[in-house]
Amino acid sequence: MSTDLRQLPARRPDVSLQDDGDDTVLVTPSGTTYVLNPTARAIWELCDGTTTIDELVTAIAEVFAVDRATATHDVTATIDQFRAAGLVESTHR
Amino acid sequence: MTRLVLADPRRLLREALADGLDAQPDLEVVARTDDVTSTLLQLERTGAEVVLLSAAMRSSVPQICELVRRRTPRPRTLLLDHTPDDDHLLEAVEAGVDGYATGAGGLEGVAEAIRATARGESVVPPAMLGPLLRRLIQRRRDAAEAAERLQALTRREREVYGLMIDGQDDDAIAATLFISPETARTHVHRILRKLDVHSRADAVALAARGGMADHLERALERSAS
Repeated sequence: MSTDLRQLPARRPDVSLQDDGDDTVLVTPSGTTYVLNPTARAIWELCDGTTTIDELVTAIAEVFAVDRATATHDVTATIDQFRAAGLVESTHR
Repeated sequence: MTRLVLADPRRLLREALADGLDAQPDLEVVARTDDVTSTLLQLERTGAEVVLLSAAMRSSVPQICELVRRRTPRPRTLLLDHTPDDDHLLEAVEAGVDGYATGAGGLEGVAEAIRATARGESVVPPAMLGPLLRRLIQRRRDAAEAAERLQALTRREREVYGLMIDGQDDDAIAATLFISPETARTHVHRILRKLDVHSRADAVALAARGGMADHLERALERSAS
């Protein structure tokens, strides 16, 4: 199933981000924690409800000098994980 | 063993950093340089895999990245910026550096950034990655908006706008395009209205903000071909 790149993922406001030494951790209201790698953290910060997945993919491809297919896979996989964990919701532009 | 050229015009810092990196078992500083020319010469002579550029070399980063891009295999570039700043990082990424290190992790942090750069990874300090992506996205949005506004201009108006961006006044524009100063002024007023800006300075600033000069050149190339 292909992801619609026009989606605008939005962080759930009740999930908080904490810097714990070298790790970045998301904490849900129920106390569940998720450790983020640096790229996942940056994607999380841009799940602001105004940035499309397509814009994220383009920027990630530029910074990491990877092809668009790789960037699309990485970004959508990360956001799918956020969504499966109930950390983000998506709307459309 | 990763071989690197270290470029820093400040001798004391260059020597201290080079000695520290040389003491790492898997790193070898094969040349220590203090300007663009000597850096490129040493890269050519030694075939080093990585060039570590200090912040004092920042203004030369675009030139160095452009020149090393032509080499095969291409040396990887790492900028060490002791005063990290989101603008510096954006400039460095747009110039084409492979890595940006801040020195916050001390000598071991710099050594690790060199290793990652040599492995082909893009090195960006984790806390700076989000703001960098945000700026890149905003820049693309500005460019897309600029391209859209440019569509509203006629071919002649694009020519006039290009001359405005070059800093020409009404009389100079008239002379360049063999039109009367009055006609040039009319074009300029129409351009300001279509771009929805209030002054020539705003129009020129808009071009810079959205990378419109590039769009304009491409639009002119297309209309000329």
